[in-house]
Amino acid sequence: MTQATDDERRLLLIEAERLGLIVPPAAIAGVVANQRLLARHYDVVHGALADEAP
Amino acid sequence: MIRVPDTASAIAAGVRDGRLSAQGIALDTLDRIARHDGLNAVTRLLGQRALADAARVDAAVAVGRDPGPLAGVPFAVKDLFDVAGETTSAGARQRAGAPAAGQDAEVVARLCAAGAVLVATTNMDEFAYGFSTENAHHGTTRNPHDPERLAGGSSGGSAALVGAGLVPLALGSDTNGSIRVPASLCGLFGLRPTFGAVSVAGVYPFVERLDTVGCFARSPQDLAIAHAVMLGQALTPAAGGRPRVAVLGGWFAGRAAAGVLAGIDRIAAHLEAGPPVVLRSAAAARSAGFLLTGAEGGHRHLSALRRDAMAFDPVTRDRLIAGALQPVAAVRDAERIARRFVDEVADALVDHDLLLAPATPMSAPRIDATTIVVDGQTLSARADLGLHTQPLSLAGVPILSAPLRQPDGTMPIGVQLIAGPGRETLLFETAASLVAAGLVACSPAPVRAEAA
Repeated sequence: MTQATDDERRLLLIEAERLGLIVPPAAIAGVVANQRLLARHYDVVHGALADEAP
Repeated sequence: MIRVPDTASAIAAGVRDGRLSAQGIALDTLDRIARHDGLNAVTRLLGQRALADAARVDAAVAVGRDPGPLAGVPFAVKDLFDVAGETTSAGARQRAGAPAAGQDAEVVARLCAAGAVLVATTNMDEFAYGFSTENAHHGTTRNPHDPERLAGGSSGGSAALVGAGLVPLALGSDTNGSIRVPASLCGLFGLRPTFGAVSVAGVYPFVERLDTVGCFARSPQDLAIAHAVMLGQALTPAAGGRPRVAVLGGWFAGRAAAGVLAGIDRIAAHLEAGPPVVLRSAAAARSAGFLLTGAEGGHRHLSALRRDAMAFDPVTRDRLIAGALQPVAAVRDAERIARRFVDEVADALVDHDLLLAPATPMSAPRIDATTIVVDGQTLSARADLGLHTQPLSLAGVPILSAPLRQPDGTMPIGVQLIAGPGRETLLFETAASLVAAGLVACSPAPVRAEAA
């Protein structure tokens, strides 16, 4: 698992705080890895929708 | 020690005509499961309940009452089905203090009313979020064909028990493939029924828009009997005539081991399939399923994550938090793709009765493997086990995973038989015909021979 960057950590903590969630330090790297995976899936979804756009 | 038949139908026939004792079968089953705890498939043996239920079945037979179509058949349930008097763990340590269930889940109650005898609850990925049955609290369930390999998940404990020949029937749940994936890796028949057809009352939810419950079995006939009981109505035979069949191409053909594709080609030839069908949005639908699952799963557990995130299995926790943090736009776009894919599947099922696709891209990965190269591509040995099941879940159609007949010593792998909503009978009949043709077979696991 690639280390989370400082920007990724900062953004994660801000987003989590908005949901009233405190991300345990032990979870940060794993959550960021999952966020990257979800972002890749979103790219696929977004790309498929863009393909059908007029 | 008695010789317990392999299938539910043979056990029920023996109990109904008095050749076999339900109590004897229950005792033998409990003993064999306890002796094979190396599989790590079971979270709880239900000895007292099993013996009491079996005694009731024997008493019914003794006085000439109908004990039901599953008389004396031992079965197990994934530890997310309510069992009266037991806490439903859903694979989570943090639920250990939850109140015990007041009654059985509806499908459990129906199976027991048909004479089946519940013997155990089984291991799973925490909150059903995974394809591997690696659980930080209960450990990893081992594949009965090779204990160094995954059983698949999230209903892996149930699949491992049936695969090892320790019970002929077990229940699982299938949201994104959690019955079909372990059925494929353990070499079993497993059914994801039509969405909404079988009651999920008393079943711990994961993603309600996708959750289904179904059965693992060693024969299509057993699967059909159990499905009818769970459905609460007799099955009607499929309409006559040769089914119109096609193999799913595109996404479903490009990321699979050569062996599974060859097996599907043999089945397609036998069923005189027409040209392959490509579902244009399959790749995007798989990604949409990933996003929607993360979002709903994350929000379901958000309050518990706020209270004590460290109580979760770390792997589940990290997935759930990331899922809950997704932007609304991602969920909205995933919904659009899901709707588009549902239409594509429905269109394909206008011209076809049956579609074929791999159940998993590969046979069971080694437990210590993180990636596997298939078809020249590096796949995750966990998340990508659901490559071919996950998009199809969105369509809500019934899908039966059937084990391809393999040379001796080869790890099992399955094919998905996909039909239109409510057409489970076509799936059972087709699977039975493929068994008869020698194209599909539930091969004995080495651990099964020891268990006998």
